[in-house]
Amino acid sequence: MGRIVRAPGDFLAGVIFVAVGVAALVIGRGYRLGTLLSMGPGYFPRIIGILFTAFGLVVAIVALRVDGEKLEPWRVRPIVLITAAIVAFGFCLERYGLVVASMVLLVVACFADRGRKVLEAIGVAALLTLIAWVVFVKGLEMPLLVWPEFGGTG
Amino acid sequence: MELLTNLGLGLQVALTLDNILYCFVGVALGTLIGVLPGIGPVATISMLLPITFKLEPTSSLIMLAGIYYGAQYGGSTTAILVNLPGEASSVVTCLDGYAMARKGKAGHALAIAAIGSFIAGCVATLVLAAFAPPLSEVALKFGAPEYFSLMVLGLVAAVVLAQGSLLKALAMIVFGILLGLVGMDTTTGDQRYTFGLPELSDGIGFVVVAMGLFGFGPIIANLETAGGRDIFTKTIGKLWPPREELRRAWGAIARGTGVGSLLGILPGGGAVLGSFAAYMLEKRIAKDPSRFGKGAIEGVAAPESANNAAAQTSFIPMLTLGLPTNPVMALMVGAMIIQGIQPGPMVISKQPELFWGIVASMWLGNLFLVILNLPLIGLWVRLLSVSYRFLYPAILIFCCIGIYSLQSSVMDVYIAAGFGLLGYVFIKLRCEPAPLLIAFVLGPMMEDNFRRALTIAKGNPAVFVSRPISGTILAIAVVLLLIAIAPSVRRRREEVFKET
Repeated sequence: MGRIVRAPGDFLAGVIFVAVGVAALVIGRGYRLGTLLSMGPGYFPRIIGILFTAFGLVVAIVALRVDGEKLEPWRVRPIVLITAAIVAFGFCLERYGLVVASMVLLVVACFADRGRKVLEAIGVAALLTLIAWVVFVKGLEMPLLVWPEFGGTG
Repeated sequence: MELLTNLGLGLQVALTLDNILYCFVGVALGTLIGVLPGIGPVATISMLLPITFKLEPTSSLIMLAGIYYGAQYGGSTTAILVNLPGEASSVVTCLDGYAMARKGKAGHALAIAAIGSFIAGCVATLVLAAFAPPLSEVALKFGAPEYFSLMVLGLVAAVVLAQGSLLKALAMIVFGILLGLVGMDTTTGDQRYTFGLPELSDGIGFVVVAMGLFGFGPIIANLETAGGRDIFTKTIGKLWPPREELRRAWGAIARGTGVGSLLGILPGGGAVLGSFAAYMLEKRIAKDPSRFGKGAIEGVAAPESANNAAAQTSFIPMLTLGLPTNPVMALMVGAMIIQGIQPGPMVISKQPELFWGIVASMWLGNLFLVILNLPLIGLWVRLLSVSYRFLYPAILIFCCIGIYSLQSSVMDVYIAAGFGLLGYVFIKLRCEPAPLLIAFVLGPMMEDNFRRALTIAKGNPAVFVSRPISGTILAIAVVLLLIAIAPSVRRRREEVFKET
């Protein structure tokens, strides 16, 4: 991109906005528009979709002409591990119960931080899982599956 | 005096054993998250929302309100002692607060921050009690076009007064409205943007969005920079400041309270802007501005008073017009809707015990905060040594269980993970997520009022301009936007935020 794009961060933001705006318009193309007097489900989304695309274009164009901040480097490790940890929690919770889901979430998440020892991660995970169990299952009596198979609720 | 009878009613509600307890829990939690950097009121309130659904509406709002203004208190502690703002609204307090701490006067700074916050909180509560009822009476006369225009004004003001790029902030608003469209169209029952997922037909939960953007996103971003917090002022020193410092602080507290109260009412204002503006004002009127940044007590007193005052007066537009002016208020609106209360001008007349109960609880909360923050300061200081290494896994597990428990939906957890990624991208691209969240909550209401206004007007879009009140509100919005775009103001606006 070099000198063509003066503000790479803003340019990327603009491109994302345009992409989402266009997607909203394309997905919403089948929604009935209706009239101003009695609007269908598609009227407001159409306005918003056009507005968003337009704003995205302006943001991107301004980024071509006005100097802005450089794009910072993105570190893959926390992005991937934190997201994976949360998704894994969702995957495990109803299948294997809170204890397994929580341990998986926390151990994976601990490794998102550099220089973490395995034992420390397991220790932190076990302690927080215990706290979560006390607070949510015992204290607030939330109907959560705690253990796989022999658990049931509560 | 009607005000006194009303406050009496409020005190009756606030002083029940349950509500005293929830108020205390709220402000204690608020102080805690204020002290802990890396977690703010938005993430905390969204974590606690599922729990509050089981409480009485009044109790839950008393507790949530306590978290918000409590966080403004707690934020000052880390700002002064560690030079790290626990909350965005305490950023300016770092300048002179930490400078005072390095001179061994941390105790004085903490005491002035607490005293200022207390005075500001009490005054702002009175402002809330005095201004909300008349405002809500005016608002009762509003029809659909007025409400639509009001929301436009609220959103415009939210970006004009916010930090960062105006253009991107406007785009974020539209993004928020767009996300708010997901789900079943309330008027026709058609599904929109649900991708065939039944979980999406009620729309994306605002707690899910808030936790993703304000809880998960910042965690990912914070882990990029392994931050140590060793700079640590161990000695707090004497708490009560010498007479000469107190004398100088009074004026600053009074001005900070005024500035904060005023900016809190404005849409987009709130605690952050209040503290910035109050600091700038002190610096401008000081005889010797060079003292600032080197431990001027006014530089602590003014912003700390202002952020607390603003936190309280920002309830005025929310409780009278149903208009959230910042992300925390947006969460409050969401909480009220789930509790079956439609936020708006009807709240004061239909549920006086709710409104006055919250107002009265703020006094109580401020009293608790002084006790929590002055005699018990040592306890919070010890908490400062909790490392982010242990903090973020705790935030994660509490958020995840909280999201799931909203409606026992694993899909919500996945969606929140997605919003966490989005939140991270926003941080990297310097897009403020706050306008998005406000617009997300307002979006469905905007569409509803837009439709109704045009149906009433027989399809004539001129209705928004031709009705005098609606037209005036829109004109104000346009003027605000034009002023913000004007080059001289734009430069000034950047200066205000940069000068820290």
